[in-house]
Amino acid sequence: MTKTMSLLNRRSLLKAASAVFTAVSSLDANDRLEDSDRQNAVNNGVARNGQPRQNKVAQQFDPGNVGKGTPFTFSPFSVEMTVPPEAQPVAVGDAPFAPGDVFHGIAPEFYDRSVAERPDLQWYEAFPTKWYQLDTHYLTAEIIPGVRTPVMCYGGSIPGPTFRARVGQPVVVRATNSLNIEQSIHLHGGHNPAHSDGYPNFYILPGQQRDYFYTNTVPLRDGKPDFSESPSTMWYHDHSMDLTANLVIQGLTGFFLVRDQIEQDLIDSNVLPDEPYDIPVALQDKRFNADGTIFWDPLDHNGTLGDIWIANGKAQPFFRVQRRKYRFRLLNGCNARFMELRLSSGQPFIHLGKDTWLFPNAIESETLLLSMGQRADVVIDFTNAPSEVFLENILCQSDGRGPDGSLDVPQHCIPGAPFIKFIVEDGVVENDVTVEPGTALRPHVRINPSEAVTTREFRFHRTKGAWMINGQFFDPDRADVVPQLGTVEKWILKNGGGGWWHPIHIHLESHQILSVNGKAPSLSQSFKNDTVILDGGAEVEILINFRTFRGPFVFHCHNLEHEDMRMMFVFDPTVGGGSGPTVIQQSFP
Amino acid sequence: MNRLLLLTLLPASMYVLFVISVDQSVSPQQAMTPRELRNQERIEKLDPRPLPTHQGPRVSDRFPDILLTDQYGKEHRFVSDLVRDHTVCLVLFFTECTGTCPGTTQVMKRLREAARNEFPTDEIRFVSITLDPDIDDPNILLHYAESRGLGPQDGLADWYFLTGEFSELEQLRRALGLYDLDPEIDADRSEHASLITFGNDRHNRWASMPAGLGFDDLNETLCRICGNSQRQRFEMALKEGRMVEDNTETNDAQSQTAGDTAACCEEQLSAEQFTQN
Repeated sequence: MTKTMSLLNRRSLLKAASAVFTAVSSLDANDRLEDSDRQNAVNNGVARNGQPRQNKVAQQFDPGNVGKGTPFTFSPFSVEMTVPPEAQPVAVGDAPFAPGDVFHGIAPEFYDRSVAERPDLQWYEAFPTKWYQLDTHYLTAEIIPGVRTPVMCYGGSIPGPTFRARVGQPVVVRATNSLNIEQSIHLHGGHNPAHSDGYPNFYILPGQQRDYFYTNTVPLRDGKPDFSESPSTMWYHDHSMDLTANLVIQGLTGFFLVRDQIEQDLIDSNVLPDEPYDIPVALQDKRFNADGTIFWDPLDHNGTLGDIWIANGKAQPFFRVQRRKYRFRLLNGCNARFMELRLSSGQPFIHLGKDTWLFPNAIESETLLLSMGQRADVVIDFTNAPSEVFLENILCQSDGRGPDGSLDVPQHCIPGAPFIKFIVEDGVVENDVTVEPGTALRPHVRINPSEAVTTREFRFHRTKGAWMINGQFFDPDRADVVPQLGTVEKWILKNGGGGWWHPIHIHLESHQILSVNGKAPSLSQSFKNDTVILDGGAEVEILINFRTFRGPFVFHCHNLEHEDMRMMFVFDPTVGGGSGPTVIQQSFP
Repeated sequence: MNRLLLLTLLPASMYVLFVISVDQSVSPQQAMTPRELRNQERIEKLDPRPLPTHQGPRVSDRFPDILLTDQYGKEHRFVSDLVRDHTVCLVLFFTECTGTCPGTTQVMKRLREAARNEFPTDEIRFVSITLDPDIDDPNILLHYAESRGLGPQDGLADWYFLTGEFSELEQLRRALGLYDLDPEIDADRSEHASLITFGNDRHNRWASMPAGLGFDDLNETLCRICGNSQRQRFEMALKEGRMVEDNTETNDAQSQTAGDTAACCEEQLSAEQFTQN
């Protein structure tokens, strides 16, 4: 009896508390604030309607591991944002080491090059193999100015080194695990052999090595290379079984940027910026413990939120820019925080692409909605910008469930949480690039709904503290779906409810969104996607090809805590197709 | 659908039994496929030496060190007496729970038996903490444990059935992440009795797993999360691919043997059980 009473009281308290915070703020120019207000917002966490931000969990209970923020204060925008170094190959052309002669071997596709490369098709692009070595190890970083933070890193920096390659250029990365914990590297957005896709238990064990083989080819359509699928902005990150959330938040992320001739022509003809005006930016939120370590609770399965806003491994850095156009590859690298990004100057982004791929034409976007794992490839034109411009997240989010509003009616927290302060330097810039909204970028090939040979439904839901798809937990040995290589399928992705948002990431292939909650997708979502947002109760219909590589591959929720707690399924494209569930066809532990 | 599945499984499982009995008639070395031999070589490359003790703050620092009473009436502090420097395999349950708890307890029982070969009995502890301390006093817990064959046994690790003060137990439950953000769901005790928490405090490595994963998966996870050496952690993971054809051969779904399907889909049944109330 007493127990029931106390629970009821707790519930009514909660309801009352949440009522205080249901006011929805609108986004308009009057909400833009002065620097001093912004500073206060920074120090207090995101403010909502001028009120200090409160945490739903903290209101309910405080078991000692939630509701306490990072115990450090610092001056925001006092350190410069770093650009991750470019990964340097150890050789180009001939192999500098015996491929596959390591603990975890190399993909069988390395030996059977006809699977992906099809020399009979006379690719107009063929580049010598790039060979890399990448060591994952521990590092002491300074994320918050003056605070020493032990992190995990790829190759000595956070984010890790940026790989750059051409479509048609095979890449072999000999990855060494110098951590004392297992890892698995996923190239997010890639069309690559199963051995090298970061399947959750295709590990690199501590002290061991794995040769990742990236063909950097595009799939075929009607017997010809489909260059609409040329990747542009990929990122690599940890994907190990029930450890991904931990290893990603500790630092294991990096960029992998690829160009084909179409994109190279846009750069050569001064339509798109080249380096050093083409800058990858990983945006993350993290919380810190008093000893400087990054907070992460292995027993929190809702999704970890941080209270420090980090760009390329620095807490709220500044970045000096000239009065010209810059290309930024913006990545939401958070575990559980969704973002809606805007510029404090009110100017729109010239939006070049979503996730891995360029749009057919550049579009104008006022704000950028990014779930965890999604990317926005944008150009920002600083030519007539004020001397200071902030890149800020205006989406309210209180816990791992997802943003406080819905996709249709988002709740905005004004002022936003500023990630970066751009300091715009004076001076005249000549020969700036010419891209503007409407500029043609890359021909797009649509999948026709009539091509789909099968329709499948997947329901993403919570059950007794864990996460399921269609009533099943992830099992790395079980192929849940066995599509036939060379076919198209229609998938219906359903959110099981409870107010939880699930961004669904599908490996191997781009997918084309047919509808979101019965309506046509927004313009930026209507081309190619590798991750699609299911907000509370949402239903999304997609079309997807299965080409080139035999499985197993996975699709999963990109809330990393949900993914680790088994909200993941295996699809295993085979030559003959078949009906799941069955045992995966090949395994490379 | 399930009946159909069972009909398919029946001949398949007989096939598996047949294969197993054939396997036992030859020495293990002779029966190994090239892949298994390669995995054995790889396992031998993994460091068998004990991993160093974690330095610095631990996950268990965030647990409340509450006083608990076991099925024999003996008192223990949760952190200082049970968790500190030990390996635990922990669930919440209550004796009147008829839904998921019996299944979870059975999985724990099997894990305890398997742990005999993997962990020193004085290092690993099995812990069941009641969600219903008003009913579950030490006597009822003792009866529950003994009537299910969960009492002390030679060679097996200790299994503590614990009760305590309700408000303190609630604090502990939340610190263990065994709660739901929706207060209505959170108020339903049976929602919290399906996750098994594995922790090796000495290495500061923790994870929780749904009991519905199935025994093999959970046993592999227990070794991987709580193992004391790299070899112990990954030996089972490397052997995981044992059901799968060698990766150099082409092999599509049509060529899967019935035996493979049987091994795969046993898990499905336990996952369904998991969702029952």
